[in-house]
Amino acid sequence: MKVSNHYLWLALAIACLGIVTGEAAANSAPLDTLMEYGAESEDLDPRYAGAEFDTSRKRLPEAQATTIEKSRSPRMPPRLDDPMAGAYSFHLARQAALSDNPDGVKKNLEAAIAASPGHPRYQWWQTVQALKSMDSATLFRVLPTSVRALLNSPVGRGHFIVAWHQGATLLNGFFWTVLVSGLYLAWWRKMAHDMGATILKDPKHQPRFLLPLLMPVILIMFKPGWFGFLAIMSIPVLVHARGKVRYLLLATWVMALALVFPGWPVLRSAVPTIDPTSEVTLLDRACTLPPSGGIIRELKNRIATSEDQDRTNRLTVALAIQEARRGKYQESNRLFGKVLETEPTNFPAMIGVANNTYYRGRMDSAAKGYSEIALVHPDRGEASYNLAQVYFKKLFVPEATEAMDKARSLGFIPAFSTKSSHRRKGYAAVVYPPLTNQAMNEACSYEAQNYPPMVILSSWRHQLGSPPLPLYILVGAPLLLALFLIMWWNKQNDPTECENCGIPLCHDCCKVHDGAWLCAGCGETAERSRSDMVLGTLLKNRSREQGMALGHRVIQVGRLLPGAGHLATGHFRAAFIRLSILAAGLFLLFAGWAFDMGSDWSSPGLMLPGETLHPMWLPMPAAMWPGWSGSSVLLGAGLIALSWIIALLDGPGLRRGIPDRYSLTPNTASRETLPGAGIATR
Amino acid sequence: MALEGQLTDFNLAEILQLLASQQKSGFLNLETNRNMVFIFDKGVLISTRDRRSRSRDPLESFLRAYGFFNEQQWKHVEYVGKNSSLDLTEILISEGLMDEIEIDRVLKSLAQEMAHAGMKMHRGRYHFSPTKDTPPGVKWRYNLDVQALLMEAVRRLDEEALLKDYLPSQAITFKQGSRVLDPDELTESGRHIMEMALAGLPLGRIIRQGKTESFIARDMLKTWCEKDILELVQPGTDDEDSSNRGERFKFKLKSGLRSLPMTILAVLVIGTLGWLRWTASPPAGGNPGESLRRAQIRSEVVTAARLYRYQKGEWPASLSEMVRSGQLTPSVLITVDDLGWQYTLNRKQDKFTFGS
Repeated sequence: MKVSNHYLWLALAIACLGIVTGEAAANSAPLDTLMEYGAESEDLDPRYAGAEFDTSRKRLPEAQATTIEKSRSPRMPPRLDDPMAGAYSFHLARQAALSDNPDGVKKNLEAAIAASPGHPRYQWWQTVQALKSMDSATLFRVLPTSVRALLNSPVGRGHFIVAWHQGATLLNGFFWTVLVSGLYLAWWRKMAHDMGATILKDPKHQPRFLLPLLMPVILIMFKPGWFGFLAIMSIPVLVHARGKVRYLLLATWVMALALVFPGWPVLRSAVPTIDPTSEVTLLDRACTLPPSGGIIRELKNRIATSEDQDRTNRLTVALAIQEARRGKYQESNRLFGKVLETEPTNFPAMIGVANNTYYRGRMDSAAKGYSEIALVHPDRGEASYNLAQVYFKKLFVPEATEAMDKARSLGFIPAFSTKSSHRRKGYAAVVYPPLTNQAMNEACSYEAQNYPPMVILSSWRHQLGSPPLPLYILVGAPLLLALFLIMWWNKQNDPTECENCGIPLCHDCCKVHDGAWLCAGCGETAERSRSDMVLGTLLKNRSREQGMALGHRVIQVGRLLPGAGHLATGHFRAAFIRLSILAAGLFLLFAGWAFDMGSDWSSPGLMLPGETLHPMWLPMPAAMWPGWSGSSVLLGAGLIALSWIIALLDGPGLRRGIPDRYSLTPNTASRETLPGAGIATR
Repeated sequence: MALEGQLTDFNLAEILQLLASQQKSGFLNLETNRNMVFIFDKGVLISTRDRRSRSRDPLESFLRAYGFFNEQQWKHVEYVGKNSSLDLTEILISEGLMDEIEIDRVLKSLAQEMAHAGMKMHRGRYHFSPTKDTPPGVKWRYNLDVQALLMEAVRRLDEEALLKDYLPSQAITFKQGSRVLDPDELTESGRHIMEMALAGLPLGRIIRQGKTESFIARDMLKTWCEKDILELVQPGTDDEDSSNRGERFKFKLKSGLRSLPMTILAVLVIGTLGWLRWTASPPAGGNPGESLRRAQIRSEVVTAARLYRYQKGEWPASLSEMVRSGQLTPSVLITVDDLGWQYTLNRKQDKFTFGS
């Protein structure tokens, strides 16, 4: 038999060993045993030698790259965030705010935000607290985050939109009220003249100063509601107003119409977010809260009845997330898979599948999945973060660090709750992202039609309008009428004041002398007077007398309502400032305290009658009333007082602001064209 | 030192003569049933109008009494006077109602008449306030000799009774006499009175519209009658009065409304709209947000229960316990009671029920 050289060398080595260990050879050596088993194999090519122990491939686990036994998967996946802890900390923060404990507020709020970093309500409540406590440093730090949280969360945004809409409606209503009141007071003399001319037989159209009260009194008897009353009262004011004042009134009116118009998609979509029983809320809860049998049951019921594919996908994703959180990874993957069949790039479904794969121990598959997601959704940081956890599990530290850096660079900040368990059975928590903004927006739009129009103002429906007449008709129809009158009435550009004494005049009572439009009194004087001296003296005396009366009236009006005097004298900016201060004060006094940005659901426009201070006269939430020493109440009262103090001090300024009347003397007014009756003059 | 006393001691004529002879300057006030003022400047009568006085301007009374201007002209004069600080004479001149000669004549006539009236007064007081120089504030002064004034006044006193006997009634009318007087022979006043007489106007009206003093008008008419230029017609049936009587009882129905039908129409429209608003309008319906709000309240309670459990490890025994622990506000508890909802805890099954 041919023996190869290297086996010869092996035999020699063994022989040497036997010589060296002569004494040891007396004992039985393990090699002997080996030798016993290996002797027959000397004739075999070791490459083809059989197994040296009884083994079979079937006995080995199915090896697919890096895997971990299924029994080592966590029963329920760990979480980074803890919604319940966040809610509890937030509750403690609100308690601390009620008991005026700023340190408690800060500590608990930080804990709440750490436990649920993307929760928009916590972010905004922090902003509001910073604003109330004049903490500018905190305000500037948290404001961008709050804005981002609002933009990212349709649910949070909806609550904000509802509150903003209600506040804007009230604020606009208060401003509209003071503006119309100011214009009415400023135009009172003209209203008295016009109404007297319309109703009474008097060639001189002497003003009847009580007549302008007729219109509001009659209107109130019809009970048109606040906005209805303002709209109808604004018609003559808008027709008679000129210049910037007209534009301001028009803008206010249009703003009111916009606020009460029920068809805005943004507004309608916000309503489901404040309904605890809505599908939007269900989806939000399913994606964020721990698993709940009630939620799962509800989701399944809705899926069973859904006929819309997009809706079914949304519900299925939410259900899949719930199942995953329960530890039913396979069921969860099945559900995610159903969604991916119709939406292959559905982000939460893709991440969910990869997460489930990770928790089932298939590291490489999970890593591959996350990498693919990162390519499809390059702007989302969750995929990189989760990938980092996989790498950490595989002890690929540099790769994990790189993935974490990428996640951070994409703006992903993981939650960190001290109370949640971040690891279970050696698995780090990965993120199950909720439904995307777009999906939630679609859910909001889908459900929006289920709610009656303007439901968020239902507490105020009797105060704002006159049900069942829709509010937008109550506000819009008078606006259209006013615009029609403005376009139809071609005498708008005719002078409205006597050019000598300044009192109101109209087409019927005016007289034209030497091209000047004069009132009945000045016109009669001009006709009767046969001498220049008498004409000049009479007109001058009348002009001075009326001018002094006007000045006195303007100051009185300005003291009665801040800004009204400036409206009467045409000082737009001063009038606007004063009216705005007054309106802001009224809003803060009557309504500013009613808004709670930290509330789960409540909004002042959606209250039961028993929850309000008075269902008819003050339908504001009684629970929110801070007392007369509340900051909003005090600030509002302060602004109102300030506006009236300014009004009281405005007297000399108003008087100076009234232009000196010149007296119309013959041969002074030289006009080329004589304005005819009804012809617009320039 | 002022000169004052009773007219029973010193009559007007004596006072005027004294002032004229002594060439006094100042204001002579007579306080009788008709207050009068005579203003002197160095013994010459310059005016009978004291602008400081609150009583009516004698010039205006004179002009109104003798119909110098019509109602419209007086309204204009009043209007101008009310709105300016001009004197009546200035207004009349500037408005072209009288020229300077006329004003002068009228003022002198006024002074004459006042002197005539003053001389008939026997009861009253007089008070003379002297001034050093020309009395101030006199608008439109003239110079009237007191002696001539008194002479004329005495003449009038003498002839007044004759005039009253000749023309006893103000209802006397006149007609053309046998003689015709050439109009050129008459003054403007005479022409005016002649026209009115020949027009058949009664004496009273002629005097009221004669634009001259009553004495002068009567004197003219008497003279013409004596010269057969005019013929007296004694008053007969007073048809004019009976025709006027009917008018007194005419019921005046004047509406202050610009258009009564339109006003009634407007009232009807407003009334109809009001009736429709309160009776015919459909009911407002229930609160559209009630179900939503109820769902919110329910959710608040459930969330509060969950927070309680999170904190304490068990469900609360009652809503009051949640209020005591601070998870629930008292207002929500009140609302829940109002809604009639019940909270029941099932400890065995570790769950609770909440609702109606």
